[in-house]
Amino acid sequence: MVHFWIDVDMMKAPISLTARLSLLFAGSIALALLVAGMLFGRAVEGQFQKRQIVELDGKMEAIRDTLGNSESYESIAVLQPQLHNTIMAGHPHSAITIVGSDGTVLLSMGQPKVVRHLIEGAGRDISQSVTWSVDNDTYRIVSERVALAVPGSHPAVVAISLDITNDQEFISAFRQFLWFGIGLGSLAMGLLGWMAVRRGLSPLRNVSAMLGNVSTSQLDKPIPMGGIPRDLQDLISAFNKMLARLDDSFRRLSEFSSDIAHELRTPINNMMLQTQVALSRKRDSEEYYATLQSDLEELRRLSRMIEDMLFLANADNCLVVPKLEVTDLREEVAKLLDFFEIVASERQVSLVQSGAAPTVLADRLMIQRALSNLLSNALRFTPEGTPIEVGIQKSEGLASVTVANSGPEIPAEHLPKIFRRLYRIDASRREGDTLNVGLGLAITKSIVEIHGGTVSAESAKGRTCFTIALPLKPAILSDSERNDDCQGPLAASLSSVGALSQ
Amino acid sequence: MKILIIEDELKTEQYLRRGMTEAGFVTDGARDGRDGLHLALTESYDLVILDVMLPGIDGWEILKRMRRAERHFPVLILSARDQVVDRVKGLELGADDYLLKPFDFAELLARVRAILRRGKANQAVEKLQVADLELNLTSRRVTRAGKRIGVTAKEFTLLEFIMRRQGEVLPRSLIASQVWDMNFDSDTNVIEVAMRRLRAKVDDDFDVKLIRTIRGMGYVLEAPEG
Repeated sequence: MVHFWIDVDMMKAPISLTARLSLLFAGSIALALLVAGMLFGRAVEGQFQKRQIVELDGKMEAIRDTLGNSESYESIAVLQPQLHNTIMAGHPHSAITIVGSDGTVLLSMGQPKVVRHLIEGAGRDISQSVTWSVDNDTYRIVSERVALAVPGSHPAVVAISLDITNDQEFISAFRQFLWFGIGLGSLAMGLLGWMAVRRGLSPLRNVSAMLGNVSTSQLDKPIPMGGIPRDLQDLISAFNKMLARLDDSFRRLSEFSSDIAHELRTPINNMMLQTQVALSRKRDSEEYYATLQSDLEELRRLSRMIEDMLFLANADNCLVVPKLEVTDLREEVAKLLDFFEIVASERQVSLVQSGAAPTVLADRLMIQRALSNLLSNALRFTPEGTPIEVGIQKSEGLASVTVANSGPEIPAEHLPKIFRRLYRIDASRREGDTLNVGLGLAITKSIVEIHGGTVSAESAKGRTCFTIALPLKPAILSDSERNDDCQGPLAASLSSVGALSQ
Repeated sequence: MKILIIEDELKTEQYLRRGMTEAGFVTDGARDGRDGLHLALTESYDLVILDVMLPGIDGWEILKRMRRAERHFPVLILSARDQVVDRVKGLELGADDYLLKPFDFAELLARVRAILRRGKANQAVEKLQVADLELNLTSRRVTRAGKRIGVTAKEFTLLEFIMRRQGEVLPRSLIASQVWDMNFDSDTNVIEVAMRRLRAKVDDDFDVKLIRTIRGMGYVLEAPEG
């Protein structure tokens, strides 16, 4: 299942980080070069155009002067050689036409096809220069209405064309060179970028190699922070914290499993031993009877352990649904003390109850069980002749029960751990009778947490004190406030008693 | 009293039948759902002990079909799954009790007897008597062979409970739940201590002992045979 999802993920992300960064890099470089190239190309083109227009303007100026001196149409016709020398010099492919307002061609010189084009266009008055391409040649043309000095005449249209084929060729060659340069540059930058990214990301690869090597036996070894770039340090430190939490849970889980195996092994070993010894020769029925009785005790111990473990496992998996009802803690405590009174008095331990709190909405039987675990725990450690004090208090929205007794202190380093499953302060010692397997406090904690409450323990100055605090009405916490989400069953259970509590 | 036991696990079925037979019941057994349902629909029983997980037709289905066929014998469900839902489901389908595996045989027996006793009104008796032990419910006095025995209120309740159930082996858990309303499997020896004290008062001064400890099972109060 897991592999399936990983595969799909890999297929969804076909492009590597390196490739992505290289492409982005190459792309942005190409874009920058492209913009620069376009601007540059346009500038060059503009420059050429400007020069051509200046030149054309100069020629036009010269023609205007000349025409201003010609006082008859005839004199215009004879201007040809003069204009040829001054204007056409150096520009053999240029052409000039002067067309009168009535359409008569007063003057024309240059390449016939160009001249023809100019004459055709004379009707249109074009003050702006235009480019005109014919065959493989390109021309820039300006035309202007020029007043004639001939008396009584209308202005004539003067058109000049300048052959700009060479300029255009230069520009297009330049453009090609530019595109080629941009392409090559982008490619080179992409390649360089790829190399840079690969190099830059190499710590990431090292880190993933390190992470890849983390196995369950090495959960306690954090990823070394030395040599890791600052950008990745947060990630690694978060990962290390996760590793530490995993290590803790994993260690507890494996300790729990091995403790459980040990706990199971002891009664099974006892049973096998006594049963095999009993069967090894013929005995009288009294002896068989005793053996069976002894087996039964071990079996009961096993059964109880399994039941407790199942309860804890179900609680972990949100399968325990509290049956909420209005519960008076004072009444429950009184009932429990009445029950435990019998064993307490055997040991000259007095049970003292004090205080009161409003009723809570809780599973009465579960609370009974949680409190009885605290009480039997206290009974186990209270020295003869001293009291166990059970106090009920009320604080903001909470009702709490405190079980306090004098007796051996719990060392501070053990306090946070005593609610763990099978936790023993002295690993070699089993406290209490054989039925005590060390799940009682864990079950108490589990039950209280199912109700949205908290458990705590203090031990100082020869006095040990366990407190459970229950909300008067279990609140449905948002997910962010809880790691495990067992709110569903509680919410359902709560809504079923909603009418009752309001 | 005739009991039908539907249980697929061979050893469980054998020992259940043996235990029930020795406790004075007549038993029929079925090792799968089909046979069990057939017997439940054709024969008449005072009680059915029904395992939930069965090959063929499961326990829920048997219960449903029995009720549909108007077979209203009391049913006690046995289940290996500790699910609150199961308990609720069983009781909703009309089961009379629900017991989780592994269970104490004494507990099963006590519950079977409790179910069978149901409906028979608790006669409003004034006093209970076993051999020469008398418990007067109105004056709340206990006497044995005419001699007054001083007991505490709790001891009176305890004695009343075991006298009402005379001859039955009562497991500790049942005593804790019925006398003290403590409904958890306690790891304390409260019941042992309480029974020891009661016995000191009721039996110690007399040759004939009425309260017996069945080791590993519980306690029984009965007049010795013969």
